[in-house]
Amino acid sequence: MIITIHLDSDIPIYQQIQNQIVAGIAHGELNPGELLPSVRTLADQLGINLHTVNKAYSLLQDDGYVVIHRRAGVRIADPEGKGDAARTARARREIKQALICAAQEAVIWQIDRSEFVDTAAQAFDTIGSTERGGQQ
Amino acid sequence: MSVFMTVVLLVILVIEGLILAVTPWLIKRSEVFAVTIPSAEYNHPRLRLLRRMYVVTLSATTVLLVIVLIALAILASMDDFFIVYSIACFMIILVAIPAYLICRSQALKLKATENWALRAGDQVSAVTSTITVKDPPAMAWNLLYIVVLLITIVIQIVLYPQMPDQLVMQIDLDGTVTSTIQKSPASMLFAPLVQAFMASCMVFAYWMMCRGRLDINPSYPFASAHRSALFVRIQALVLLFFGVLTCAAITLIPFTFVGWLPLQTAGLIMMAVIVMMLVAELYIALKYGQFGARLAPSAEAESSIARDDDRYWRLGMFYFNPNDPVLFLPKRFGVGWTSNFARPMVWLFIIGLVLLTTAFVAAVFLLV
Repeated sequence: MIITIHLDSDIPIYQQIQNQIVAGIAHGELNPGELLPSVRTLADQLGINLHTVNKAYSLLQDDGYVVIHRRAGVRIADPEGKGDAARTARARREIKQALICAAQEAVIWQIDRSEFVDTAAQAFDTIGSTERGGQQ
Repeated sequence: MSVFMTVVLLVILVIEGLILAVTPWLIKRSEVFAVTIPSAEYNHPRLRLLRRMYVVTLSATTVLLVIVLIALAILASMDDFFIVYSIACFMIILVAIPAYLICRSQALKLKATENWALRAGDQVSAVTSTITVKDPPAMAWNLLYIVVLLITIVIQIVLYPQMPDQLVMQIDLDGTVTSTIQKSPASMLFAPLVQAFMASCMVFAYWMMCRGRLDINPSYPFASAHRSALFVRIQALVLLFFGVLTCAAITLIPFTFVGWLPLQTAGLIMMAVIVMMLVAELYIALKYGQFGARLAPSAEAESSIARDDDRYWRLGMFYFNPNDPVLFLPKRFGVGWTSNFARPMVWLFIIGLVLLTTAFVAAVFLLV
């Protein structure tokens, strides 16, 4: 899988890395147990600060997407771990909150309900196809 | 013998000139004379002219020097030939650098007038796994150097009783002995010392290749990552193979001490190994180009620049970026790697290499 960073984007670099790895897992491009590049290797390749990569990986670990071993490196988390009720409940809460924020913005900008629902459905449907929904 | 060696030396000079002359065609289409351009503009008439001027200048210089040297080889003494030959090797570089700088400044002017930097993006890409691209062979393969070193030590122990009192170190082209050293256990350090020094340099270069950044184009990330990784892998294999072979050739030295092999023959074998490595590197440069650039289809032409790094490349030759953690990365104008001179570690390596070389030269001087 390829990670592409837009250095001039409004989205912080660590978040771009996070988003792309999450997208990779969702689209099946990154498999459970798969080894990700080391912090140093990824930082070298992208030409960005090591702390930025560290932050991205740490946040991904907190959210339960990767596991960081000091020696063995960074691996995509196993799906069994996702069965952890507390983690899933937290993920549910966070996704719900994100959708509430999106809905609020949609209301402010007068985007109607059906368009909002269609967009959400489309985003869900592109996973499992080879398309990527314009992730940055 | 003299004729053969003269021809080999001239061939090496021609290869040096050739490689420098065709460099503009060995690198990717989004860079001309170390200036980032949209790859669709590669065949801009002005740029084609610059490339042609560069190749003509360098080819002409090489041909001129070869003619002068052939004349010297025929009419003058071998000593004169060697002196001028050494100067000629540097002459080519002394012509190449200003030629390159002039072409580069012209390319920069063109970039400004055509406003190519205007729509430049700022993207970088990385590949996540070695399943996508193949790594070079593991560093552990470099332990072969130790095997070669141990074999040399064993051979010297076995042959020591049969060695004469005076060990031949140097002969001139006629075969007359010009330098010997007294046989002693200390004198047996010479061959392993040379091997250890060479192996250190080779292993460091190997490590640098493994640590170096790949050349990935965000617009065509998979293809460019594959090409890059292929290039690195092949370079690493060639370095490993010929590095070990060159060190193994040093094992011939104790055999020359006992007289089983004339020193000239050992010298010729070493020369043959080096020429083979040169030819292999030439092949890689011409077939693969810099980080696989010559494998890129011309269809990969972009009308805008994915990332413009010009500001970090001083004179297009020296990469200086304090915000970039990378130590080693692809050269801009040439085939191979360079360092990020903003990183203190790089300077430590440079100083370390200078110290290592000094120590080696001093040690050999004391022994011989």
